[in-house]
Amino acid sequence: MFKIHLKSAWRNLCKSKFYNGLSLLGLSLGLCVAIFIAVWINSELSYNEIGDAKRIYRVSSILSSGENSQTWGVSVGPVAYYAKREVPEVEDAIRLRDFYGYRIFSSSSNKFEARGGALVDPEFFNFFDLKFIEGDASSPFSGNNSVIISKKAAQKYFGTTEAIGKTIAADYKEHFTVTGIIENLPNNSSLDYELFFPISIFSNEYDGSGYWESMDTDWGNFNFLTFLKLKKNASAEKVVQKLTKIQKAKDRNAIQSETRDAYYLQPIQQINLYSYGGEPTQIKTVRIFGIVLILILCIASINYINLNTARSIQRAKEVSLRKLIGADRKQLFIQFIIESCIFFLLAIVLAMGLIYLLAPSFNSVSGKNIDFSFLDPELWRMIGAVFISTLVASSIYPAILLSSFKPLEAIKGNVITGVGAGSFRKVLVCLQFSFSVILIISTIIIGKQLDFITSKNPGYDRSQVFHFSMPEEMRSHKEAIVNQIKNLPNIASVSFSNSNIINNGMTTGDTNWDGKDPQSDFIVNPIGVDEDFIPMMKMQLVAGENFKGRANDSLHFILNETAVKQAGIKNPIGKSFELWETKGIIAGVVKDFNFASMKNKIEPAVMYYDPNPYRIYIKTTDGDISASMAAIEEIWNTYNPGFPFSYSFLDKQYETMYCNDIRTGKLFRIFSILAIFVSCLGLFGLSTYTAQLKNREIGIRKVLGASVAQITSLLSKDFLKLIAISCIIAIPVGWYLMQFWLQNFAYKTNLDWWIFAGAGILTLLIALVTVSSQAIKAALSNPVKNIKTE
Amino acid sequence: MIKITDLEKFYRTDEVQTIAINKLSFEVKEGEFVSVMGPSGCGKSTLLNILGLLDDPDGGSYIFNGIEVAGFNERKRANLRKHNIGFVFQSFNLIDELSVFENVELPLIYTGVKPAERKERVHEVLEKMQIMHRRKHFPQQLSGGQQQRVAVARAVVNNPKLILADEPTGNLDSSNGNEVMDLLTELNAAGTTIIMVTHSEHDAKYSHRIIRMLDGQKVTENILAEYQH
Repeated sequence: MFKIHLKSAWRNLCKSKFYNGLSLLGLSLGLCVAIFIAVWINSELSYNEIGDAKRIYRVSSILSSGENSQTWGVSVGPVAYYAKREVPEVEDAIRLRDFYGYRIFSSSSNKFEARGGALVDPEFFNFFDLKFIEGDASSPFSGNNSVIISKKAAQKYFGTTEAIGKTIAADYKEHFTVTGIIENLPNNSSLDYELFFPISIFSNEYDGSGYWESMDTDWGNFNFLTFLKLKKNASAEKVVQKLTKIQKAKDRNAIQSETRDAYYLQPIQQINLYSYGGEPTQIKTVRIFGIVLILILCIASINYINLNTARSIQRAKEVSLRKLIGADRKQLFIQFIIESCIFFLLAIVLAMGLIYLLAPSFNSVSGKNIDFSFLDPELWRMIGAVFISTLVASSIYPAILLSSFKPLEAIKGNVITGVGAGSFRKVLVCLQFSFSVILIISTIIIGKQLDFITSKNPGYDRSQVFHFSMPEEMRSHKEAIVNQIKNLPNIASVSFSNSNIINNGMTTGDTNWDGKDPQSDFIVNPIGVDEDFIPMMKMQLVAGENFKGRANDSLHFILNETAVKQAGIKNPIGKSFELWETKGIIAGVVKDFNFASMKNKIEPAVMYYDPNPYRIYIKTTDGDISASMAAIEEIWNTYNPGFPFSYSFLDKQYETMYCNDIRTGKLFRIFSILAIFVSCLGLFGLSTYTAQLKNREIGIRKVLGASVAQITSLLSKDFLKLIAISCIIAIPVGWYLMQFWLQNFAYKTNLDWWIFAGAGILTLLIALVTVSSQAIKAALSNPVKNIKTE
Repeated sequence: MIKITDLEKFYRTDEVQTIAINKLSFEVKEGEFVSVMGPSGCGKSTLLNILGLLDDPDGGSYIFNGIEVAGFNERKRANLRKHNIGFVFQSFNLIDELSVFENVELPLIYTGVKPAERKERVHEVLEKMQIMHRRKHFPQQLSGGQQQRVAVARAVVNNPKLILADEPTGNLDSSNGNEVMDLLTELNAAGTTIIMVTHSEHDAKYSHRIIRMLDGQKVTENILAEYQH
């Protein structure tokens, strides 16, 4: 029986090439897009699948001060130390710190910018189950001049994985011997490192004479990413309570009256999806893409259902005959399910071809590095899930409808598509276009929001400014260098800061002022600048004055408006303020500016005078700056022979900060366009079919004098009514979804009425073009022929 | 084999009720060949549909093979139908997507006959209908007469007890029509009961008995001379 079902299915497919072709194209495109989205979602949800990931947490530190509280992803050294020793629920704890301070890592044959290096506890490798190709996980480092490298790094630095005993130099002066080679860490991971150095390099910096005696007792510096592996079934909340208790007992600066937890344990698999404090961030985008995935599958399924059921009258006679000669409903149902399976198999083969062709473009737009290998079981899991869910959703209704024909009526051609089938189809068209309108609305709003944040005035002028950090060798010749640069053509001004103004990233609670609650930390973002920084960045002082480049500047602070407001300092100019135990006065108040992502609200900032900051900012004029750039590079090379000149333009950096959002926006746009295209394919098929069904009516009307416009309107108006209803349904849903997405941003674009009106009009226009092309064709056909053929 | 008593069937629209079969009673014995005649709209086809278990009567009794089948649900009707009844239509009603062989094979598939036996039985019936040489052709590639022979082959391949024929020669020229009538006569001679709806007096003469209908009722019933006992 199966064989004959296959034959019937294949012959039916070949019989209606046009409709089946449309349906197949729509379905293949829909499946292809859905698989891409499923793969994207899977990649987001399978982040940090490393070691026994389900039991591993990153420790976030919560710094509470009065009503305010900040959560950081980093923590102090003692957390891991005490967690391992005094918290029974913790199986193991390790620390990791970026190995910065160097500019170049080199082997005897290759050199690279010093990236991908980390200082780690020796247990790091066992903690994450990292396999050693060479070396020993139980005692990985032979001393402070030892390094463990990944297989990839071995190839990169030495061109071979046989690298044990070879050396990697940092800035040509510190030499580290390779004592182990490990398998590469997964791409899809926050542990994006390839060189691992012993943490003792850092701990040796504590000589017992400082404020903090050792790394394990330093409760003041948040130097590390701390990871805890909990015992099976251990409660993260209990661990947090115990760690908070330990902190209060051991940290001499702990605020004893604070009742809130000092830590939050974030599952490492959620690091990319939630904030340090567990607030949803990227997970919102994942959920929205999940919705888009469902919408696109619905759109593709609806096409299939609509085109199939609309043409069911053609199958009615066959169904009836089969019933007459003995087929029962179940047998017919199975037949139609088999037909759908064959159709879907064809569609999935086509979709896989598309995936193979489009994978590089997808990776480039999404910023992912997904290997679309058809040998990858994970990819097959995605394909299988999308395939089966769509097949089930699309095949059951047509099979029920087709197998339900009453044989007698159908055989005589008295039956149309079953009671309610036409109305059901209308509902589906409405749903389909509602989804399309929602996608258009979302695309417009995401684009508008991205425009808004990339073009919003951050409170300073970032145009034509580039910056780089100057090593000590240069800073000792600062004045000469500044004079040289200022004299170059098309250089407008030069200033210094010790912060990257695009994303400051430094905070401290070491502040004080008259009237401050002694039981609260006031956490601020300190930004060290020289006297030229504020004018060069065109920041606006709302009170007081700028630094003047005089000796007493070091006792002056300039606060931003938020700092003044949150500290509750009235008439701030001249009032005392203390930062890092330096007592001074508030000399100025600067208008709020964004020194971090627009997703976050502006936080309190304190600008202090730093006579020798390491980061130089250079503003250029409109002219050609290539000669000046070459000259600056030459200056660099004079002081830093052997080190590459690396600089960043603020504009580009600003865009990079939003590249994830910009990618999301691009993906959304592409998916929406495809979804709308697939919807239109379905509408095109339906309208063509309707025109065919009404051939005779069109012929008679034309003979009676109807114009082309009247006939076009006759054929189009029902569809357009449905689209109009879709718009009415979709607009509130789109508004709600986008409100939800915009919650990611502290600064939001307006949800203007024109977005919704525009999305509706655009959909109507697209639908009108789709439907009217067929309607006009039908209206222009020869009426005599139509009447006769009927 | 068939006994109907006071059979009724109505068609209703919102405002109008039309009586298609009005208190009709007759009996057909096993092995009989009965023609049903009458003008268009007299209820012949409705009757055939009820007899073929394609439609439910609204009143009266229908006993098929000793079982009351009026009121059977669709599943029961379908089951009874596929094992006992074959249909032949005026417009042949072959499935265009299936070849001659496949069309004839289909009823056997639905009754669950095994492939080897199916092949044997289809070949046997195609030989009998003298259409074996066209078994791989599709319906559109055959003449009307050939198509109707395939339809008859399909109707008899399951060895039904009853064949219901709805104007089986209506779309054929006289020579092809006679061939089909000869086929039906042969089947009847071999023991199959046949009920045929026809407008053709010529065709009706092949049967043993003619029931004439008007307005859903039986008006006359003639037993043809050679079959009178």
